[in-house]
Amino acid sequence: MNNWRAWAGLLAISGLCVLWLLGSPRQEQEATLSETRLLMGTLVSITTWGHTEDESTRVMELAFAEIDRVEAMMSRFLPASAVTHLNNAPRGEKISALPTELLQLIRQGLEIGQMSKGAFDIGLAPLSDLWGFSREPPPEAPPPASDLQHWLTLRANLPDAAIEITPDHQLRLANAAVGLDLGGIAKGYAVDRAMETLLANGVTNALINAGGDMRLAGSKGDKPWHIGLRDPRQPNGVVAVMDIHKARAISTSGDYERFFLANGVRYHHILDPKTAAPARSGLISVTVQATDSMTADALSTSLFVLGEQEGLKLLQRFPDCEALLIREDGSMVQTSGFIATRSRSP
Amino acid sequence: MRLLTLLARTTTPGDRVTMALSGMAIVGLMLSTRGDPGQRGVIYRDNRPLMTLTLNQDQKKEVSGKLGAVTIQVEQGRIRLVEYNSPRLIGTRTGWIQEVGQISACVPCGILIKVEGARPKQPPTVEFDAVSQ
Repeated sequence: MNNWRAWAGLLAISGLCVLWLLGSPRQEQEATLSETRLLMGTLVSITTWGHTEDESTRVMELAFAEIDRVEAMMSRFLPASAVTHLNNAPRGEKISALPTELLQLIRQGLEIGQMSKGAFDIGLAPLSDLWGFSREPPPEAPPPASDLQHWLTLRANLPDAAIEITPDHQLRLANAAVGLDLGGIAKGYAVDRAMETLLANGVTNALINAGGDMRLAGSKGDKPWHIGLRDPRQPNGVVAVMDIHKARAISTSGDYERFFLANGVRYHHILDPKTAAPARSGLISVTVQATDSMTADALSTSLFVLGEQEGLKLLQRFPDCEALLIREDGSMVQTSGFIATRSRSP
Repeated sequence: MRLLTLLARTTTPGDRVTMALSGMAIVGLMLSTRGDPGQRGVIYRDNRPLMTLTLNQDQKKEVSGKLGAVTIQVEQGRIRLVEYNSPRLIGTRTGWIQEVGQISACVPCGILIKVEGARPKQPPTVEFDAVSQ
């Protein structure tokens, strides 16, 4: 046997095998694991990096259970939730025995509401119901002007504490113009709770995405999390790329997520309590980066309603929060610390 | 033919056995590291498995969603959600899915389809880890 040829052949074959294995994406594929569920009226995905499948699956299960728990307490669409119980109570009556966690979130929502001079409002359930953006099928026309006017009149009669938490931890809704809708804050809160569950159980590289509201921790080894920002007028396009390799939360509010067109006018789901109509602030999309998802969630809504000038003023009161705003003409403005590696106008 | 003649002249039977075995080893290695596409679509309602459809058999099934019947179609190794009469038609717009890990959902119906099976060794090309919207 020609030994040198056999050995050279084996060496070459071994080399090819090594190259194949090195070129194979198996390692990264095994490291990135993802699971998606239908929760909070949207698709919620949890992705982890660098953890074994067993470990990741077990901890993701705990995180999904945490989101489920928060939703069961705070959704106004679930008949047995504490929020539904509150909304069904007679106005003016004090409701007791509410979960401390819920009261705490309501306090935080009220505080952001005050700071935003009412642009952010967790008491808009009756107005949201009038517009019906959460209905199936979705609306095709605005509600009657008389209904909106009636709501505005009722609201004008509200006391300062339309949602009042008493010193003995009871809660009172002042009149029929007010009802709890934690949609602008509870999704972010649930994402935060889920991330805390992951971290507490040793999962340090993770991305939670709840219908576009997300929180990130760690990275994908030597690669950052690679996040796109949707183009408000091109559903499959992106206007900015955010490469993030540290703990961060991102939330976007836009006029394109839930909307209808009637007589050439776009009616979207982000309502301005001052007008009882979809906010017309000159912005079509607001993305906020923050340290926690609840703040990012609430601020993106607040800035969208307030508009560029007042919105950016509000943002300054929140340390470590950054924003990217897209104006109606498609131009963009972003604060100096906003993480975006590439952006273009839509 | 020339190559074969050359090989026959320049190698011994032992060389040829070594080469054949090595070739088989390479093919085996490639198959084991590359994996295969998804084989089944699992239908979930409210995050609980409702039924499993193999993707190698064309079929149509109707499942009960929160807002009425939802049709699931399997064709040529792919699966799609033919949504109930939803004006948003988000699930329908997702179209056909066939790679392991791909998802199609009708959120108001509470119906989710996932392609499941052996995880592909070649991950599908995904431009972003997530899109904020």
